[in-house]
Amino acid sequence: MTQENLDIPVKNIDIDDLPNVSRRNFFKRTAIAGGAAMVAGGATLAASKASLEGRESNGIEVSDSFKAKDQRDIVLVQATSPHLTAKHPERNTEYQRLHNRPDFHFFESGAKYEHRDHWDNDRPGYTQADRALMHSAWYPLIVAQSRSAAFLQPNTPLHSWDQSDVEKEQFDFGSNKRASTMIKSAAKIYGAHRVGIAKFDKRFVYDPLFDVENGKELSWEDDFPFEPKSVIVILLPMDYDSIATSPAWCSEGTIGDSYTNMSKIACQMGKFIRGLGYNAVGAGNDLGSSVAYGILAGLGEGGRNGALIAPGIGPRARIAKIFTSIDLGDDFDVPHSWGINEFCKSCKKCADSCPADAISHDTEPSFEPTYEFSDEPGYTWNNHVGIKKWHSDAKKCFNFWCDNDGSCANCIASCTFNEPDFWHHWFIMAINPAMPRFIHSWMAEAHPAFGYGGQTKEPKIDKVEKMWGMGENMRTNSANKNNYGTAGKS
Amino acid sequence: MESLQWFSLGVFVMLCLNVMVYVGMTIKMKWYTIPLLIWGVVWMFFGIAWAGSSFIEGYPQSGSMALVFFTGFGLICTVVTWQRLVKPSLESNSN
Repeated sequence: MTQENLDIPVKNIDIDDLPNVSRRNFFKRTAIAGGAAMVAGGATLAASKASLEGRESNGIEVSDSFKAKDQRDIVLVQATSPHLTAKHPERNTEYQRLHNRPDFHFFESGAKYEHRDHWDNDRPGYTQADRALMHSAWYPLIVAQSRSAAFLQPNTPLHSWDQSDVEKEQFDFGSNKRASTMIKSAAKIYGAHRVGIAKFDKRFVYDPLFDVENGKELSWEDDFPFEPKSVIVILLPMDYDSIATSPAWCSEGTIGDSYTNMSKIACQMGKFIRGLGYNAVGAGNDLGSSVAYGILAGLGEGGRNGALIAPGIGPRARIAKIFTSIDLGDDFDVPHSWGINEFCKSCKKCADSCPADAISHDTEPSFEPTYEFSDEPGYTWNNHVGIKKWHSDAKKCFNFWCDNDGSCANCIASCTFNEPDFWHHWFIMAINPAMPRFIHSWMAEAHPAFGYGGQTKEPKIDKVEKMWGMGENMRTNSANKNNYGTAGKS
Repeated sequence: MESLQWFSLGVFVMLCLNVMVYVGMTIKMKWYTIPLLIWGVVWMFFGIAWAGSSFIEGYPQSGSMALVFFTGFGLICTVVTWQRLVKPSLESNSN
């Protein structure tokens, strides 16, 4: 743009031509302007932090006929149980027929999962190193005979139901508030990133429970060792750069590591509470819906991808639970909203990036599944009907895991809320609730355009190379140092 | 590195404030000139801060986009305001 174009006479201005001003007035006004800038900056920071606190919400919306989910109706349980395979042959045959996949079988494909002895050192993300990283991440759980907790097996050694070490003397916390704070402090010492404590709600546990290894139904009343009053929910973030390699095997490095940490912390917290004279059982994926309890504990909202989306981490977190007899009265944490669910209505990036096309593209959530073949009798056996959410077809998701011979985190990596822990992402998180839907759509498009997410069926080679090339500069989970008031809410 | 970024931005913001205060004291301008300059400068610094953090976090593409969109938008606002509103006043003032 030239001055001619603006019809402004061309004239050079000499600095000496500029008028002098009173030095006193100049400094006075500069101080006022600086003060005003500081106030504006402080107000922006305070407003951002207030927004990140979220606002109380109704939590989980369910229909009148809603009831707890039978653990046997979960894909991972079906895929690991010979008893259920014998009991429900139609689950296999119907899937094979509808998807034209005669080679796929929930149990037989599941049995080979992660154990096909092969790699391709010319294919980044599927090399011997990636394979070794995947297996070693889970190895502590295999040594501790507790990996099956990830497939919902209850009462594994690290998540033991044994209550024989409960101290006879019960520790007096002084108040419920103090109890909540002390429990959260202990959890943080053991490595929790965020902790919330939800009131026990029978609707969101698996009922009946199912001992997968022995094919035995378990009841909360007769088999579980005590009557739970509260559920401590702990978030453990996964590494950003490792998840970014999904669906490559190396993304399993951080997934397996977080599962290992989940079990470790659930085991420690269980022991801590039993040492205080109260009952406690740690859990991984078993016993109840981790996402539901994460919502009830005020740690995040349920997203389109079916995961708990927590402010600042997004869905890039694993969830450990500890069921305990401690009753916090009126001091339980309560559900909060940060506008995440509303954002999901416009975004759909997880659904676009799902290699199995298992995630709903519907704009609005619904009480029952709407995906392909959901009107076929019995096909939606794995869905929890009666809860308002975007129902995914987890059967197709698991089918891709078996084809990939490793799990997939595309819906986590591509999520617009999955961001590194830096101020600008927190700022976007803070202004999100105030943004209209068309801005949400723009934000969703900007996310991959800015270089984040953008997962495809094949892993992105540059992200695999970046992860392996970081060495000492690897951020790992310590990158998530900030909470900005987004921890559990009471 | 992040601390250095925020320190540098603080210095530049203060310098910009000085310029705006001086311009406001010496030139008779329309009432909306300074708010428009502030608007442009805030966007410029927002983009620069975003870009700095993006480079530090290892996402240079995000930094480049921030410079193009946020800083670019702020730069256009500032330049147009300066050319359209400040410079004519400055010239009439010096005549």
